[in-house]
Formats: sequence, C-alpha cells, structure tokens
Amino acid sequence: MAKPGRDFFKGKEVLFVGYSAKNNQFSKMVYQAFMDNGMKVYPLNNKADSSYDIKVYNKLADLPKIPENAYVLLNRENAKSIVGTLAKTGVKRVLFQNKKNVDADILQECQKQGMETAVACPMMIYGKGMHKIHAFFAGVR
Amino acid sequence: MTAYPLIRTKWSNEHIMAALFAVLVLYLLPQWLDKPGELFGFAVLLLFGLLIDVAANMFRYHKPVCAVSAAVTTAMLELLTPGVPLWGRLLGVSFALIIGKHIWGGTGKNPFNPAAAGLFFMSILFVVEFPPFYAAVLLVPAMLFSLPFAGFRPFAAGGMILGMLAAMLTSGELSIINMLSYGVVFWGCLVITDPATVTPDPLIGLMSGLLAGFLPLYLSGTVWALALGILAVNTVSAVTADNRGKAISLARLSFKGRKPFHYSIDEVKLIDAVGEETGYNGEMPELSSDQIMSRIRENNVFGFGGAAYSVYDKIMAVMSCGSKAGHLVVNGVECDPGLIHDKWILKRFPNEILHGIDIISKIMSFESIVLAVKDGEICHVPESVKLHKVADYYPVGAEKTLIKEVLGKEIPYGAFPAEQGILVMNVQTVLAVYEAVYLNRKADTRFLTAADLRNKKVQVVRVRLGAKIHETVEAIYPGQGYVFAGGGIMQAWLAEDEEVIDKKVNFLAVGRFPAYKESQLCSKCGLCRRNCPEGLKVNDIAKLVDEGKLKETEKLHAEKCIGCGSCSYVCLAGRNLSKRTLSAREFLRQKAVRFCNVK
Repeated sequence: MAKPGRDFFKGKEVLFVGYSAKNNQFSKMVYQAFMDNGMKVYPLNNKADSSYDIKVYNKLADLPKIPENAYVLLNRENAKSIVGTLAKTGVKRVLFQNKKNVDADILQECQKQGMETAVACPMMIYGKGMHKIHAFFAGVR
Repeated sequence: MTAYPLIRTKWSNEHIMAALFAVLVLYLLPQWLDKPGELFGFAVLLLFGLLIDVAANMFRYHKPVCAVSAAVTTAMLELLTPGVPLWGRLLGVSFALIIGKHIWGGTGKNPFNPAAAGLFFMSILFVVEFPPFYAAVLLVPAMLFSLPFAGFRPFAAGGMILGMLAAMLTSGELSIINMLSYGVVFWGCLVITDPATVTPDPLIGLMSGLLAGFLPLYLSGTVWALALGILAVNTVSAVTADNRGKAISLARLSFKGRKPFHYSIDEVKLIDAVGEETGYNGEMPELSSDQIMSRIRENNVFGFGGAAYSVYDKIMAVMSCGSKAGHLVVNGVECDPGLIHDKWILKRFPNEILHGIDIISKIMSFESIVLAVKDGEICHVPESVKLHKVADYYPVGAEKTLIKEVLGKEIPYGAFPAEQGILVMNVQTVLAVYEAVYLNRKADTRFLTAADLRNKKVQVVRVRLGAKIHETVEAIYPGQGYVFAGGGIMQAWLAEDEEVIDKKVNFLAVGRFPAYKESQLCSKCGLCRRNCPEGLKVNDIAKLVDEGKLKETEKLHAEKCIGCGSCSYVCLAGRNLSKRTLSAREFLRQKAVRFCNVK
C-alpha cells in the first residue's frame, strides 16, 4: 500500500468522509491538523445533525463544492460503498486512515475509477510531536 | 451548530486528584521520617495500584487513561493501615480497585469509595491499628491543605467532623491530640468528600455524615467501623441519587482575574468598518409618544443584547400588560468575560444613553428606572435613574437573573418580564433608540467585540449588519485561524464561510478550538449543576444525550437551558456539557413546535 507524503493532496481543500457522528476527539484532531496546515476541510457524515462543534455536511449534494482530495474514515464496508460516488463527483485522490479501513479490492476499485490512493493516518503528515515519530517509523515522509 | 464557550477552567479531575495525592503524601511524611523503610513499601504498593488501574482502563477504554485516582486510593490505604504487612496491603489495594471501583464501571461510576471498601476488607482480615495517625505537629500542614477538599461535599464533611467531635466529647476524649491522631480533618475533608460516592444533598449529606462520624467512634472506635460508616453514607447517597432535588449553590462563576484578555476600557479604540459619522449630537425633535414609537418601528430598532427582539413589540407588550407602572432596567452589565463593547459604549456615549432613557420614559411612565452596571464609576446618572451595581458573576446579565438581582422579582420559566411590566433593554439598544428618534437613523449597524484569543487582544468594532464575518475578522486580525462568532466568548460557534453578522452576533474572534478533553471519567463533582443558573441536573441530561435518549431529557427540564455555557466552563472532566444540553433543548423545542402544529 502506498505511503503518502505531504504532497499527496494537491490544492488546499479536502473532503473528510466520516467525520465522527459522536464528534469524537480524533475526528476533531484531524480536522484541526488539516486546518492548521491551511487546508479548507469539508466534513461529511450522513448522520450529521446540529450538535457538532463545526459545520458537518449531511450529503455530498449539500457541499458548496467537491474537493479533489478526500480523506476517508469509514469502516471497510462503508468505504467500499462510497468509492464509486466519490469518483463520480470528481474526487481524484483518496487517503484512507489505515489498513483496517481498506482492503486490496477497494484500492483496486479506486484505481479503476481513476483515483489515486494512499493509506496513512493524516496526523502523521499534518500532525506534530509524537505523530512525526510515528510517521518516521511508518515510513511516511 | 450549537454554541459553546471558547474558554474553560484550567482545573481538571486529574489536577484535583494529583493535589489530593500530594496532601496524602504530607500525611505520610511523619511515618516515613520515623521509619524510612516504609517508603520502599509504599513505592511497591503505588506501582502495583497504578498497574491495576492502567490495565483495567486499557481493557475498558482501549486507550491509556490517567491513573492518579488509583494513586490516591493506594496512598489512603497505606496511611490508614499501619501494622499491616505489604502483601496484605497489596491484597487490600487489589480489592479496593477491582471490587471497589472497576467492577462498577470505573471512575465516577462506583457507588462505594474504593479506599473505604479496601479498608473495610483489610480490617476484617488483619488487625489494623487505631487511631492511625501520629499526633505530630508535622501533620498540621497536611490538615490545612485538606480543608479546601471539604468544598466538594461541604455538608457531609461538616456532618462527619461534627459527629466525630461529638463522639469524642461524649466519651470524654475531646482534645487536640485526639483530634490529630483520630484524623478528624482527614476523614471529614478527604474521605467523605469523594464526589462520586457522597451525595451533594445538604440535608442527607449532613445527617449521614453526622451519623458516620458519631456512631463508629462512639460505639466501636475501630477502623472497620469508620470504614463501614463511610460505606453506609455511600449506600444512602446511591439510594437517594435519583431523588435529590436540591443543590445549594455555594459557588458563583466569576471571572475576576481569569479574564481571557487584559485591557483598559479607556485605551480601547473603535475600529469603524461602517465609515459613517459616529458623532451623536442631534437635537431632540418635538415628537409625541406615538411619533416616537413609529420612529422606533420604522427604523427597525431591535434588541442588541442577543435576543434580537423588536423593540417596538417589546414596548407594546409592556404597555399592554395592564400594570399601572412598570420598571425599566437598562442592562449595562455585560457579564460575558469576552465582551467589552457595552462598557465601551457606556463610557463613550453616557449622555446619548441617558437621552435614550428619557425617550423611553416619554412613551410610558415607570415606577423605577435602573441602570445596572458592574462598575459603578463607569458613568454618572441623574436622580431619576438609579445606578445599580450588581455582583460580578456570570450570567448576571441574563435577563431574568438580572431582574432578580435588581428588582428582587423571580420570573418563572415560560413567563416574560414584559407581562409583569418590566422592560429590560441593553445599553446598545437604548443607544439605538436614541439614534432612531433623535437622528432618524436605521438600526442597521452595531458595535461588537472582536478578539484575538491567541494573542489576547480585544477591540470594539462598529459594523454594518450583513457584513461577512470572515472578511470582517480578516480585516482586523489578518492571518490564519479559526473564526468564531456568537453572543459572547461563552456562547460562540465556528463561523461558516459565507456567514454574515446578524442581529444576534455580539462577538467575533480568531483563535484555536477550546481544549475540551471530553474525558469519560465524570467524577460527579456537581460543579455543572451548582453553576447552572436554572439549577438543571446537567450531568444527568448530558448522560441521556450521549445515550441518544433525547426524549427523556424532558423529565429533567432541559428546555429551560439558557445556553450560558457555565457547565462547559467548570466541568472538571473537560466535557462540553452545554453543547449537549442545548441539543436536548433544541430537540424538546422542535418537539413542542411539532405538537402545536399537529394540534
């Protein structure tokens, strides 16, 4: 599986698919890491309601625009089901959180649909401190 | 999106427990000075306790969780079981942490104090010396540092101390030496004040504490009896937990010395994004009360305090309430620690505000006119207006809280002050009334506070309604950062890209997200409830919201939440409670609307 670097995402916008319905700390941490690196984040969750700290979109159609980059934080089943939709809406690069969220079939499907893929926690790319140490050992540039 | 505070207390459960552990070490010092070898035994015991706690938390939460509470339990057992061998203490710590705490669900979910459970267990198996303390002068600092912990459960603490003193008095043993060696302050301030296992109810706390202090000491004078007394208090607290209706508020949330930024109101300069003349030198035109009212209506004067009501409608509501003479309360309190513009307006436009009050007085007569402020020196008023200096706490500026503070009248939930002839207006609203009537100016601009939370800077800004929030903030504080907007620093939300400044926006800011830790370890300290101006059982509401049981929050009256954010600010578990309570409130309000529509 490809290990991405900071240059994996092109441009300054990213779609965050699966921003936690429980608004957990991890989702917010990743959101903040993207934002701190000057990226505009569009969080998406089909269970989105008004209780989030940030604006979370309910469906892709609600987004003011679809970014070319997507970060997917879904389980394998859900990740598999959204790949086709992402490709159709113009997403060109997909970053999956870790090996638990993706398998070879999903990655192959992405490539078939013309999307670049990578598997790594974005905190290794955009985070600081311990995340950088994690990135070093994981081989993420 | 719901609003939430951008600032919060620096204290957490872990800080409190660490402080408690430090006090316990002070208690242990005389023992260690006498027998330094015991220090090694304690180190082994401590390591063992921490390992159990870390392992249990890893099993439950699948991530490391601070184990300082286990250190406290371990230190308590070390202190209260002199003469017990190390293997016996290891057994006692295991019992305390596994049976006394983790079997119930971990920190905050245990009905029994783990240390008391462990102590009771050990006192059955071993001979535990009593009294446990050396009556040494070295204990005095530990006792003094113990006193603040009584604040968590003051009634239970007071009861236990009184009970122990009464037992000593009736058995003729009351002396300073005995008070030290029996550990009256220790039991009263450190053991029976565990918020997770002892009721906050004043009466139940006092009575159960009194009995737990008196009976064991009077009848038995042993450690097992005292431990059993604490466990009995825990049982009573658990049984009465759902029925407790009262919580006496000993604390009012004050931001004195903890303001998010420091400034001198005299040095704050206006950033005028409107670009129009800001001088106020108009002459009062000859107008009848009807003409004044029509100017107020035509110029769309609204409530600048955050509610954005129509001032015309509000005055009409007061006039039609049937009250012969009402009260006018001008709200210059500005209790939100992030807002400064009302103070600035009072300082900069005192005459215009007094003219505004005159105008409103021409429309209808008032029994009293009160200008409520925090700083009595901020402006001078004529005899017809009473300057009322209110106590500096949050949210004293909330309409009903202010009425209670100023007029001593309680407005029940669901009722409106206007129905009782009380007209409350923010100072900026009064200024807008002045502008609308004197200058025939539309209320389409507003003053607000713009803050840079990273660099602790703050400005007063005058903007036109409809201006884009991001563009306005970027012009004042250029550079990257999260842009927030809201009613104040205690009620802000992340502004969306195209969001504009509307009538409800009083505050703009750039900064980082507030550091809500969202710990699952609620210690039931009750600070959220004690600081809730509506007295809501906030932690119970938050629990229901987390479980998705929004309908059930109706029983706890979540609809009464005023969204002040006090609960989120004080929560020692770092949980954003106001966000949860507000989502429950919104759910209940929407449910009520649906019900009305169906009817």
